[in-house]
Amino acid sequence: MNRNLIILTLFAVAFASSVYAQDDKVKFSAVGRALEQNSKLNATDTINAHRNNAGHALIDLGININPDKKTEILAVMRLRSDLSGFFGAGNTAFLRWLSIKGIIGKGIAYQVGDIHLKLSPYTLFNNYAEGSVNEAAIFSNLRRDYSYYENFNKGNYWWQQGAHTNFTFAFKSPVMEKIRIDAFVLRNRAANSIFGGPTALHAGGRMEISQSRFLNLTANYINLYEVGATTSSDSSARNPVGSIELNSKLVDNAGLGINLFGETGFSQLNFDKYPSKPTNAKGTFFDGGLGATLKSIGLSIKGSYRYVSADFYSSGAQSKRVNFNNNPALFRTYGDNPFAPNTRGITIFDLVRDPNIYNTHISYQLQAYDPRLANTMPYGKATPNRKGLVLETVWKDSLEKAHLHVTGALLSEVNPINSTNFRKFTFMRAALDLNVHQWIGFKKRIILNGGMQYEHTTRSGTSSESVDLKSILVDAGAEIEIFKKLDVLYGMKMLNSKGNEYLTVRNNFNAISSVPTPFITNGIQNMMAFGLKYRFSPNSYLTLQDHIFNYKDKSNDSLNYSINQVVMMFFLNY
Amino acid sequence: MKKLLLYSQILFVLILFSCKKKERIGPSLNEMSGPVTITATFTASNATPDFSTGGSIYFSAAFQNDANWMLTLTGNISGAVKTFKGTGKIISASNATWDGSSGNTLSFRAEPVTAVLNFPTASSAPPIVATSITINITPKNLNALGKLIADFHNAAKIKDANYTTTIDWQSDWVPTMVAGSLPLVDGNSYLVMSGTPWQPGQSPYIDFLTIYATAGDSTYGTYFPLYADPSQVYLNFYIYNSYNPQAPLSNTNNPYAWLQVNIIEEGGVTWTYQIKNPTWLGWKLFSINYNSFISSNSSVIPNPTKVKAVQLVILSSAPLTNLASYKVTVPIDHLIWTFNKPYQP
Repeated sequence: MNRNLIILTLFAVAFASSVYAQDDKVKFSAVGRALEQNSKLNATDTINAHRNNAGHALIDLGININPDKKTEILAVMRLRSDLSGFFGAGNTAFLRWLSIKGIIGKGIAYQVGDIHLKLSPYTLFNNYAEGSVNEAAIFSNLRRDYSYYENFNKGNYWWQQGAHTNFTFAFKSPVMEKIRIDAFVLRNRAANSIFGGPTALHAGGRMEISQSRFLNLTANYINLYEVGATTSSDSSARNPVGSIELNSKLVDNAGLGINLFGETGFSQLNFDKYPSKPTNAKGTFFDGGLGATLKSIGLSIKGSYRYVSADFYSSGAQSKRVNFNNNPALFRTYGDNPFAPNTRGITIFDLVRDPNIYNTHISYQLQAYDPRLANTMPYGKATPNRKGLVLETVWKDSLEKAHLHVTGALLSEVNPINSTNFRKFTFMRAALDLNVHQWIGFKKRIILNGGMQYEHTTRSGTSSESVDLKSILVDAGAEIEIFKKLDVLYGMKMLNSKGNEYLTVRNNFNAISSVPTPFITNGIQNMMAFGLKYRFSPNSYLTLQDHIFNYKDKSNDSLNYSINQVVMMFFLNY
Repeated sequence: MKKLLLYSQILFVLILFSCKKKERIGPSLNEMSGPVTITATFTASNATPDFSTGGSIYFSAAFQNDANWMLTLTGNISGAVKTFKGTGKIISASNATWDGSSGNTLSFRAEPVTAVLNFPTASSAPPIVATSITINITPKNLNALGKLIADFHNAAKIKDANYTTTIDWQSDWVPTMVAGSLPLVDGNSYLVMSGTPWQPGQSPYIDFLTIYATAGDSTYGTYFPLYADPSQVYLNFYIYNSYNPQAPLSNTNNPYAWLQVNIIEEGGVTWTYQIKNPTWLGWKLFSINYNSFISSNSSVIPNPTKVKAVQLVILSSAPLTNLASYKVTVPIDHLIWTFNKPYQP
């Protein structure tokens, strides 16, 4: 059956090619993937079969239909076969994406159905997942083409379903260059009286005013609102967020650029007719500073001050890409007591290779995070209750031989939580890419990359409230082309954490009324991988990799385990 | 340069504005880890509550400072437990109202209930082990919490493949209410399905029991009275397991237990849910949404308004060549439909 499906898929692609050649009203595209993962658990364990073998082959067949010059319909059909399925068991076919887009009149663009949307980092923004600082290609390929792809993650865009329109006014005036307006309505959630609550919609828009190339002003607005009485309850919540962004070039000549940038705005979180009468919240934020670019040496420096109030809630910007309440799909529990097994939490290993831990739902409820991976800004720039200074430096040489990106932040809480003392955060993140082959004039690719993230959180006070948590995340990798289009890949990743923290406990309305959960860590996660990759084209490749992951808890040896995983992935983007 | 100065001034004002002293959010860790001083005695609003008619009671107490408190109610006979937790200076109807429901799988019965209030994070200064009171309750009517299918309280009704018929019966399928045996999950007897496959080497099948809407412990018409929307309908039941990891292949445990629960709709359409190789210990409540049942016929859609029967099929997941070596035992109790939410004893 699997062979039949593969033949069918190949036939479909071939058919697509022939149709494409015949009629440009219908075009075909395809993303294909065959993945085989063979995993072995090494631990004191009597619960699991110690080897796990899983794989699948799939093709996402995209059909672009252009009924006229101004309309495009895109449907993506997924055909998937789980390898070694028994007589068709695990074979599925379903519609993965459907959108219609086009232009009304002379310039009003629209899109209906599945869409990707993004506004600013404080209004609608899908922050990248934790556990990566410029990670090696051997990890980033798997993360991008498997974990992210399965969850429709694309840059910092949120995948949503709804309608979006935009249009632009252009002016022939010295005081105004153009105004672009975007508006959208999204269906956030269908009514579900048991688990989800009432129907929720997300509506908003953006107006970008370009006065000239020196001044750009943008207004963003987004509102997540529940529609009362769509379940048996009349209760509903609303989370409007608005902001204004400013970008102004103060100096812009051949050698030097100086610009002023900033964003400021508000949020509300209002509850209506909830029996428990939760408290409404109003929040504000400000983020602004100056940037300078020394163009001759490719160096940019930005310094800014950030203030995000403790009750600033922005569903579109604070919803997390990773659901830390999920358990990994592979070896969820381990140990030798089936009645009290150790639960395997999300690790740097799972963040790379497990699409099941990712989240695609936007919610006004602040979601869980792992303070070992991100404690300073677990919700990105929009993390509530933070203020302080941020410094960012980027250096890129003109021939792109090297690229360095360093960010540092000294932040503290705006309001202390469960204490009269404030938490203080020290954050440092550095990423470096080196195209070694360009330095030494070698024709084949030799690319080294790596990064490091350091976080230190402190809070003074008595032993029952003091906090001291340090974590270091290190990434390093290499891609060396040994034959034409054949690369040797290497990657390593390490998370070292030590100290204590208190995890804030919030109720369903984000209020803090409970005792925080003590969090103590003293452990290391490290991961090493080797592999080969053959590139058929820039977006299509075949790779064979071996990943070795170790989890070590220095305070409790019974929690230690390691996983060895061999991965073979064929990825086709046609 | 004028612009630069103007923007810098705006930035300075904003920074200045943001620097004002801010109040603490949430209860204080320091206060909660200090001694607790009770300023109003721990009491229950009714010492003999009757939950069978939908009543409720509340507990009250007050403390000098914010306290991290935990109130644990334990049935002196049933072993059922209900817990309330909170933080603050007051325990009242708003945070400690009890409707007689249980927080674990066992249900409260007509029994004395001990209520213990303690403070898990308080310091050793008195009185950290606070106080307890005892009340005598009339429990909730468990069968009124949904549409009961069978609670197996009547041994005479358990006969054979069809509930209430009178033909031959496998001898070890008995309703059990033996003292010293399993805890009574609903305070009443339960069904023990047991045996080994009767075609060893060929089929894992052991036996089955079908409970029709017309013949359960609450009787209905031809169909169970269920909501039309399958996402709103739950089938709930308890299963006991005594898996012993130290002796995984003895007759005293269930490594190969395999229970198939079938919902039978009009026209023979069957929806199935499988429970296989249990590893839990004690009674476990299963609350399965109708949409989680799978039909072998992919062209039908679930229709809860046409459910005629619920069928329990017991099988063995032991290797086919070894089927006769291991006896499978599945104690099961309290089959009940609920709507909108899982069963809450």
